[in-house]
Amino acid sequence: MVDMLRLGSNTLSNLQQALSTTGNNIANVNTEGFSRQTVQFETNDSQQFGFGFVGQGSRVQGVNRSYNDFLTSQVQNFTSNQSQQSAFVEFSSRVDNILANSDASLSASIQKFFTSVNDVAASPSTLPERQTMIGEATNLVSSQQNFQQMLQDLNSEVNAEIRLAVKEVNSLAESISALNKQITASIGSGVQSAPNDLLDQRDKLIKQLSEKISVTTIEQPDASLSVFIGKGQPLVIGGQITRLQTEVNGHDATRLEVGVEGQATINGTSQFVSGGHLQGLLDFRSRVLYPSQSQLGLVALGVSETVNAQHSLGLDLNGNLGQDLFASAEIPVTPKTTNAGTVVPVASLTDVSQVRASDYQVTYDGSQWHMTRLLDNTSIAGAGPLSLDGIEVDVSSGVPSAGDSFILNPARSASANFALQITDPRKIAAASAVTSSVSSGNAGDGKIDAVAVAATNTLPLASPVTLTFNPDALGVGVPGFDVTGGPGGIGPLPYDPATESAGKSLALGATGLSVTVSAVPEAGDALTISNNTGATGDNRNALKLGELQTSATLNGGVDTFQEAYGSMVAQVGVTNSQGMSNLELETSLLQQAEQYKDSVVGVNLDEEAANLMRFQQSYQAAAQLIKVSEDMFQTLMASLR
Amino acid sequence: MRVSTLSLYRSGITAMQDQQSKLQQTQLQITSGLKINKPSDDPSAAVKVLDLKSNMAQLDQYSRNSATAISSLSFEESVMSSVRNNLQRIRELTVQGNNSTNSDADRNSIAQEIYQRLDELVALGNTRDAQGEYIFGGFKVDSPPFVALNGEITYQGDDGQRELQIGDGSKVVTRDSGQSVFQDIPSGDGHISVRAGEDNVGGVLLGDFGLIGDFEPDDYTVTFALSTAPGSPAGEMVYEVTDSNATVISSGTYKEDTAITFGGAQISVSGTPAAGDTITLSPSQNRDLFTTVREIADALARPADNTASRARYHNEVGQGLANLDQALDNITAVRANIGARLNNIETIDEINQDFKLHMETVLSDTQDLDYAEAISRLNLQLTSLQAAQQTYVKTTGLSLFQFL
Repeated sequence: MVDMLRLGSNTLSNLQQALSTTGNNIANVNTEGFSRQTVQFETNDSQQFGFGFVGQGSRVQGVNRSYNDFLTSQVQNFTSNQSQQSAFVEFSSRVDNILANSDASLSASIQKFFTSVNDVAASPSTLPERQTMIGEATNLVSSQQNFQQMLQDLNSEVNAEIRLAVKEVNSLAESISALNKQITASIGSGVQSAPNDLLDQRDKLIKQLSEKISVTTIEQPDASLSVFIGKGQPLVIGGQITRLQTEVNGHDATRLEVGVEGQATINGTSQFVSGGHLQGLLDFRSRVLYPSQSQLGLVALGVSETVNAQHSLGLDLNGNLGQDLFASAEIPVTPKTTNAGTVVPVASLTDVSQVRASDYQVTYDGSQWHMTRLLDNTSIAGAGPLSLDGIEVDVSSGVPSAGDSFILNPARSASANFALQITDPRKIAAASAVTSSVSSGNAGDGKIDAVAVAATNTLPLASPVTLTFNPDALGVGVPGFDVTGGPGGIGPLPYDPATESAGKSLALGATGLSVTVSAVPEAGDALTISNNTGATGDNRNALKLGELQTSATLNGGVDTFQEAYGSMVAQVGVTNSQGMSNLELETSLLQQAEQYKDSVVGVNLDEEAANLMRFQQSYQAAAQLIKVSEDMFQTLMASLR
Repeated sequence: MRVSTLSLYRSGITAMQDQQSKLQQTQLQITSGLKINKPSDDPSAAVKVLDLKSNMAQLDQYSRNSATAISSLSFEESVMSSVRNNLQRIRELTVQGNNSTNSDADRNSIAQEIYQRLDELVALGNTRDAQGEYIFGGFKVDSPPFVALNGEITYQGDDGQRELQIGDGSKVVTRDSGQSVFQDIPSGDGHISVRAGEDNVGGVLLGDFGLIGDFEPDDYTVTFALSTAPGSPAGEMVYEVTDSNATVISSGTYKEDTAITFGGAQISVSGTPAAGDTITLSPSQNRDLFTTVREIADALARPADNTASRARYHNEVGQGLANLDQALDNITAVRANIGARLNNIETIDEINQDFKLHMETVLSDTQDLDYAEAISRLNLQLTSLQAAQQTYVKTTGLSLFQFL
């Protein structure tokens, strides 16, 4: 009876444990990271009698949490992937939205600018059209700068997010290491079952960490967890932590990178980062932000350089050669902070049509220089000056040291540099710098159809250049033009009216001028090329400026301004839509993994209700046991009375 | 499979959020009327929209240029028409003045009217358009192209022709320079011109002239002399034709109304030449319209009281008429040219308009929303959202605790 009484009371206290565990499960149904706990019962060792064994009830073996190593780490991985895509999409969607309105796009500003150029061509001598052109050029500049500023703001935001993420990783690392110590201590104190809530808490922190960066963990024999982040960088080993820090990119002071405290940086390029929010930010920066800035800059560079080049070949209303309409390109070369040599490379633009929207890296390997287009790693090598993609880099100043590295990006720097230089409408060079005329006394009908100006080094002409037709200019029977005037030393130029009367282009020596002559001149007929004075109604240079809009002047002479801008829009659009479908995929993978994990570790209220009833009934039964033992005792006492 | 209560709630909420985000996308499309609201909706279509808009703006520019060109050419055409009427009147006056029955006074009054007409012609040559540009100045549009200098009208402009872009790769000339309209007009019949010597003392009258064979371009002089050949009748005139090197290339006996032929050219001569009288024949040269008119007027204004002066004025007026006809031909050619350009502009503009219409259709196909499709999609999505909400309420409303 005493045994029965003890059995009953033991069972009651066991069941109280079970009931309170169920209650705890119910209470934590909404707790993030909580794992369902169950009480494990075990039969007590039975007592041996002569006739056999008699059971001695049960005891609580421990309170276990439902846990699955594989499912937990799967959720961590998918969390990293999902937060990476989500950070990427969050930012790239903003670029996407910036480019959304096609009527307020840079493309529209370019179009309006060239429309105004065309209006000047239609009415070159009047000021209102010229004033409009200045206005549209200002709009073009400010619209470009506006876009650029928005992208720059995104860059600052990315930097802020990186800073925040690094701070969070560090604080998570601290909490994890503290928990590691507590868990190790509580396991060491000899408690049989694991400290479930501490483990849950640690798992929750690991999951939070995996939102920032990808995580791998290894459980140590002392139950502490070694945490590695990114590509194997140790973060927490037992109670020790390695802190992360932000550092400035070696080549670009506007970029923050992630490094490790107390460790020499490798290029300052966030090399070990992979997965998570941080990777998403870095991806956005390298795949969307910088390419967009470069491509936007390339359009600015193209417009400013080609328009300037053509503008400088014309004459303005004051009769002067055109000045630069836009600020001319400057290409800053940024040395890496760790450079040991003293070389200060100077970059200049030789052919804007060849420039790509890419960073270019110039390095010295100890014996020769290399210049690499980082977009696709096309590279050249030599002693310098280096010339790639229409960019020439002079590396002759100073003494190089092996490992020196420099970065330049003409396109991106152009966008910062894009500005209007001319505000006086009279200074728009709509007229051709030189003009041609046919002498009234000519007997033949030979004429100059067009004068092209490629350089202005001999302008204004000291004296008019006269082409005089001579049937024997280049020897008996070889017709052509004798050339007099100008800088001298030109010609004679061959021209055979019998075969070339449809038109032939003749270059006037080193003057940078060329003329297209057609029809049939007679001996002694004179054609004259002279400075274009007082020609306020001349729109030839304005027409040429207008033609730039439809000329393929960029990316190796294949893209117009509009196409270069369009390819940026397409790239942003494609990258963003890819990011969005990746995000969708990663989100559903994460949801699935969480569902699987929850199906093992999550609390189901119906199940708990059932358990509640089950334990309640058992409790009633055990209580009954005490009652029965008491009845038996009373019966016994009564028989003795 | 076990389902945790939390994930039941979560998946219900996720399902509703998915439906809501789709609904929002559709709502955005319907309110904007566009399929593509940002580049990522359809990157290639977004770029296409940009391209199409840019091309359409380009075409708008072309049609504006076309309109400018048409108004500029029409204006020039109207000026040309006035020039032609003026020249016609001058021609009538000239023909009238050439009549031998006119007295000096009659001729003088005709000459005065021609001077007046000349002033009008100069004014027409100095026409300014609405922008105040001198339309016949070539590229020099700020100052009058035709200026009287020592009694001569000189051209101060250049031979620039303003062009405008009216289509991809097509430009049209919107103005002709004063040089091509008024200055570069060949004299005579366009190939050769003839003149009687100004100091002729006889009455040589020039008739028709022209080319009859291969003409060797040179300045030729026909000089008359009394025949010294033995046996020739008294007063018989002979002529010698010399080229610019004074080489005699032809000679003969002068007979009235018989053509003198040499070097591929032919001149009919009548009247009574005196010894030493000359006729020169040279290749056509450019003679500006104003000089032609002024010379006619000068010739008519000069008194003609003897054979020589009468012959001189007839010859000069005749020659002036030939030059005037060349000028009229030139004006007609310029007007024909203007007409051809106007036609060309119209054709290209029509092509551009068609092209633009086509692009508008493509643009609409590319970016505009199919409302019927979108609204039925909206309804479907609303239904789905409702279903998700109802399912959520039903599944989360059930709990075993309700039965305890």
